[in-house]
Amino acid sequence: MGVFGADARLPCGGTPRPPADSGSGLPGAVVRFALSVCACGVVAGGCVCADWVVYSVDLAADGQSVAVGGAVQAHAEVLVLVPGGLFAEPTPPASRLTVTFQAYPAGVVRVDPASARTDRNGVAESSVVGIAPGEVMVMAEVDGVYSAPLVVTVAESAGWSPWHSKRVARRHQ
Amino acid sequence: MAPSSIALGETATAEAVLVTSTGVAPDSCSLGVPLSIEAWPHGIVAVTQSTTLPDHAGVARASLSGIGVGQAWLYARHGDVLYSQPVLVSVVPSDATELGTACRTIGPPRR
Repeated sequence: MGVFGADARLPCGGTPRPPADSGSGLPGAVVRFALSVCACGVVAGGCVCADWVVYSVDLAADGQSVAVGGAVQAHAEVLVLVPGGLFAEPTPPASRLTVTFQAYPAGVVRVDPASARTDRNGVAESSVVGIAPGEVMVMAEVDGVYSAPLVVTVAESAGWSPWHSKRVARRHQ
Repeated sequence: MAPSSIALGETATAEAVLVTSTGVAPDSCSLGVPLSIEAWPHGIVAVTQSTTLPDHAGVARASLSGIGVGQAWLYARHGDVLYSQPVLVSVVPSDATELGTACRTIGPPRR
């Protein structure tokens, strides 16, 4: 369990909350994002916005390249902000949080499982399985708080061929 | 999220908004942390002046330019830990590019 009384990364104690308006369209050629913060400085001194909120999600993987059909393990550590400091799960909240793993664009990897509960150390695990050659950006999300993107490269395996894949698919139709 | 598109060579504006969970404007501490807009993969959308401090309403803006045909994911970052959901942006060929392609396609065959 990690305990951080005063995190230098955000000394005023900004608190992430779920985005309210992420990804609206582009009429008028404007791309809009929304990142939510809490107005109170919990770490700096005693202001409480909620009993607890997800502060950050740190995503890491055992490797950043995988072959088609291969897999690499991904770990997402969730930090929770409470009055008095930052904690890794589950102290508090006592309940485990659900981490959702997402890959962009689709079709290059499969994340299995797509969502997982954090363990007693605040870490959720999943596998990134290569489907087709290319690069993907993998992110983990908890309660609307996203991790930094992790780029994973899928390389062709020795036996992989797009033509073979299509023939197999037709045969089963 | 709905895909958005800009033409190759044209510019668009990206806006990142800090929103508080309590419904009031972000505090001075939050507004003092730079907010940046980033694109991946590289080579499709160029983001200029991507790192700025949000204004009093929590809004930070950056300019996007379409520099390659394709699709890119854009996301906003506040400080080191707070990331937005990514937004997909497509860069499509400009009218001039399409016209040039059409002329080459319908021209007389080479002998």
